[in-house]
Amino acid sequence: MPGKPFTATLREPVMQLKNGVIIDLYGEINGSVETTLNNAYELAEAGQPAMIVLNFKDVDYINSTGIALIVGLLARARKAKRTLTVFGLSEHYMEIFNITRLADFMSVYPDEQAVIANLTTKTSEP
Amino acid sequence: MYANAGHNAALQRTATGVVELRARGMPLGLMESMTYEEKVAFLEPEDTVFMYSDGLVEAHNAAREMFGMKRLERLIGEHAGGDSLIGFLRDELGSFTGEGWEQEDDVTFVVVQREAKRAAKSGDNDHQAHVLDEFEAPSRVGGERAVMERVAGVVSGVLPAAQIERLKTAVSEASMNAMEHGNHFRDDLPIKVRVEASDKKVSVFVTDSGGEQPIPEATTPDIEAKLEGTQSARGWGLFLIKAMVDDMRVHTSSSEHTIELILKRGGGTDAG
Repeated sequence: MPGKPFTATLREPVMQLKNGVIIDLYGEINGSVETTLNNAYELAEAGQPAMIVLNFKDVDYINSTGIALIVGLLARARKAKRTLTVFGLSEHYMEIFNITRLADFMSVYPDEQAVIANLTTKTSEP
Repeated sequence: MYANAGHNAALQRTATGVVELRARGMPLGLMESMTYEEKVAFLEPEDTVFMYSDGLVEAHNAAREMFGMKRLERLIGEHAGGDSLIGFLRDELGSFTGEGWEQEDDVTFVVVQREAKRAAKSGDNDHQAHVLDEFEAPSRVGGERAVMERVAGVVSGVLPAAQIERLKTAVSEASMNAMEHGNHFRDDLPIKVRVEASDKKVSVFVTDSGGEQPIPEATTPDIEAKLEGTQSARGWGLFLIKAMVDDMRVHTSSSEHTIELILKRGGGTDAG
């Protein structure tokens, strides 16, 4: 039973994100998507954003090799002193991000509005 | 002992299938002095008898298809039986008819289940476990996904949705390990999967042919080391399996490994 073909698309700049970019993920994340995911991440990095946001809203399956790929991206982001932010995880994958402790090292939000709202709050703080 | 007065025949779910409990009889009160055939059915421990009104099998969906007996018998056969059968069938009826369904007739369910045999001694008593499914799956890259979906379908209605999600991840990881590390993705070596359910738990057994290699202990990965690059980013599989289920057991023979994944029914762990 083949899963949905994976895509990772760098979105056109979102004004409210300021110095951040969003990668929209679609399908399932397993070992076979490494090149696609890394290429999208590389493209996102090219503009030297302070924050890269991964949208998991349309991701319906992540296996352990997929978790390893996300760990790889997180390591890369930390090395470059970038924030890696995610949103759109299902309740189940939120649990997995918690037990693997990925959630301790990245900002996790329920949806895109929450990511933007958080940035707005930060910039409007005195 | 049972009789029937023109009603739909009750269905008995046994360990080997579903049987109709048929007995002749006209609708009650139609004629005076009417006699009704009386028959006897024996219920084995954990057998379930399901009685229902015709509003269930005669319900139509938007395409005017009828729910029907075949569907009902299949669903009862797939379910582990017991009182959760009522909610399961109500959900299935809802999915079949879709939103905005105008109920055509009354829908009433009654379930009777014989108690499981009590354990002779304290401890696990799995003698009453039903095999819900048993199959082989080819050892190929990505093949774990089909195993995961099939097992999820089999336990639908047996476990709540959150437990099914956890089981899916555990089955997927166990199958992937079995296909890759146990069977080395060899076409001629399928993995074997068996799903069992008892009143207390659901067990999934995943067997590969790599008995000569020990399965390592599940350890907690060191994410700091992985992020610093001093440890491989991989190595989450066994940890995830163990975290997703209530118990994980490994059975090894000279030629095979079996990983048994156990989820307790009726409120296992909340967070794995």
